[in-house]
Formats: sequence, structure tokens, C-alpha cells
Amino acid sequence: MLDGGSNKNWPTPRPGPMTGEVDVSDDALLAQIAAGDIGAWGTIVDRHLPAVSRYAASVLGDNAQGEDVAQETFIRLMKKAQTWEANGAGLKSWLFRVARNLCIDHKRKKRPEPIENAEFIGDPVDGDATNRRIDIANTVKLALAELPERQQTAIVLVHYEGFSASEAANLLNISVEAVESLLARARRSLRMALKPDAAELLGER
Amino acid sequence: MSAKIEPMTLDRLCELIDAYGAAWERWPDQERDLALVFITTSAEAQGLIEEAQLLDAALDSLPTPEPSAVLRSSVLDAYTPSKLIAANENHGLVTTIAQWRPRSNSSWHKAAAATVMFGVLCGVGVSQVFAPASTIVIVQQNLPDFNPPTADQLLQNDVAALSLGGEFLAITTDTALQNENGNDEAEDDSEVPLT
Repeated sequence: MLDGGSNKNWPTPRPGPMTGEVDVSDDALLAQIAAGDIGAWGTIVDRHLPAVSRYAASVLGDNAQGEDVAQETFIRLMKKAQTWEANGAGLKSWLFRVARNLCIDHKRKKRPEPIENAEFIGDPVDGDATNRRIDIANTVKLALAELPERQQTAIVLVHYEGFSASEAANLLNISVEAVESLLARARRSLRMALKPDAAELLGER
Repeated sequence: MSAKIEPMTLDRLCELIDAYGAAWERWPDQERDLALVFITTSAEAQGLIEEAQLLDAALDSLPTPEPSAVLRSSVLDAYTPSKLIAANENHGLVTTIAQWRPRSNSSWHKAAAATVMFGVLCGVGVSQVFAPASTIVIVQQNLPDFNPPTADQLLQNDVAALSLGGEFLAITTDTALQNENGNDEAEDDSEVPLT
């Protein structure tokens, strides 16, 4: 069945952050921000903060640290707005590049915090199902955290945030082929890491 | 120069699935249609898709950590014109002055236009301050990051109204004259309590 995968929690890969919005470019909004337009700031925040926050939380394996990184990223954007120059890379790439560098700074040796509640994945009628989903999510989270940073970034950007391979290549400053290689190695590593729980996680017998 | 489109092969399809998984929305645009057609003709390809869907489903089991309301509020509130000034003194001040210029037909821009500076002190209150339309209003904020005020400017009956929303005790004003070179010459300092 080619239905784009059985995505239950993560949104279907998005073509970009501007879906459903009036198409005011990021560059135009940044010019307005530099001129003191707080409304433009709100638009930029709502357009990009969720994805940056999700990315950082996924890479760091910790929502609180992810939010710290997201906040710092946008503080830097506010300062950058005055000198922003429209270029090919674009704001989305700039934001994720800053967030990625901050994540690298934040990364410590400790393991990511486990998911302890079922705020996003709970089954309202089946407590056992909820516990299973929490277990599965924790296993996947730990497996993601064990990936080398570039593989982790590639899989989070492309699988979870809907980046195209060329967008990820631009951000990582590598070729599209290299991105595909990172993704393939990441998925192979994840499959291996999840193997012990394959019956539960991967439906294998 | 357009990119050359290669015919789809099982090897290339394996590479696509290895990299992007089974969700074809993630596959490169220029190869997607060919790959989908190829799958309909290949039982092996269909098996690869089904296998990849299992890993996709495991990855998709992670919850979606949307940013908290506190984070969004903090980031939104972090924006203030004064931050822009601090970020870039060379550009920010000019921009901020331009922002608060009353928009009227009056000759505010003439060399001797009065400049009123409102230095916002910390405290509690919400107020609206009126200044002649011939003035340039600059808002300076000295508040903690976590609760910056907001300001807006309207022009009513040839009067520039500066609405301040946030927490203040008082506003200090510095009235200055601009000389012909556009430089400020301080003339008066005063404090406006907000009651």
C-alpha cells in the first residue's frame, strides 16, 4: 500500500512551511521585522518555530533542551534581521543551520530523557496500547540518539520535517548523493538497533 | 540545462527506499512517477516497500513535540525595537526612528523638528502618550527580557499617539531639537508618571 507510510503522529512530509498561508516571502517579512513590524515577527515565529523546536527536541532527545535551542535560534534571528540579505540559502536553511550548531553545542554524553507521559501518543481507551506506544517511542528515541550527528540530522530533517534531499544537502553542505547515503546508513542503523524489539516495533516474527 | 532523467531500475528503487523509506512523498520529485510505475510491475519492489513501511511506522511512533505555549510566547515577546538597536547600533537606531515617525503632511522632517524621547522605566501600567505630529518619537525600553512591552503609533488629528502596552511605572521624556545636520541637541528632560 503506497499511502506514504502509516504516519500516526508526525505530520505527512510538508512541501514547506508556508502551506495554507498568504505567500509573503521570508525575506520580505525579515525586512518588515527590521523596520519594527512586530506582526511580521509573529508570522515568522509561527511559520518556523514549530519545526525548529521539533528538530532540536528530536536531535537532543529532550523537549526542554530543544525549546532552549529553538528560543536561542530565534533570538539570533532577531539580531540577524537587521543585516539579513536575501540569498539562495533562505531563512529555513539559516534557522536549521543555527539550530543544528546549537544542538551540537548542547549535546552531552547523557542519554535522552525518556518519554514518561502519553500527551501525544496515548490511546484514550486502551491503557495497554498507550504503554506499548510509549515503550516503542522510547526505543526509537534512544536508537535515534545513538546515530552519528549527521545521520541523525539527515533523518530528522527528511523523515520528520519534510526537507527535500537537496534542502538537506544545502544545510549540511554536502551533495544530494551524500545525503541519500547518510539517510540509508541511518535507516540501516535504526533497523539494526530496533532488531531486538523487531516483533513489536517492526512487525517481524 | 535540465537534469537528465534516468530510467528507473530495481537498483535505483532500492536506493530510494533505503534512503527515504516507503513514503513516496519523500522521494525526489523527478524520480517519483517513474518509481511508482516501476513498483506496479515488480513484486520484488513491492516487497521492499512493505519492509520499509515497517521501519517508517516505528519512526512515526515518536510523538510530535510541538513547541509549548510558553516557548512561543517567550519568542514573540523577545522582539522589541530596542533589541534591534542593541543588535546593531549602526542600523537599528535609524530604523527605529523611522518607525516612529508620525505620518502626516506636517514638516516634521525640517531641520528644527522637535524630538521627544520616551525612556520607559520598569513598573506597572498601560498608557497612551500623545505628542505633536511634528515630533519624532523614540521608544527606549529598559525592561527584563521576559516581559518586554509593546508599543504602537497612530496618527489622529495631526497628533501622533504612542500606545504603550506592557508594564511600566513611568515614562521619561527627553525633548531635543535637531539642528540642520539632523543631530539632536538636548533641551529638556522630564518624567511622565503613568496613572
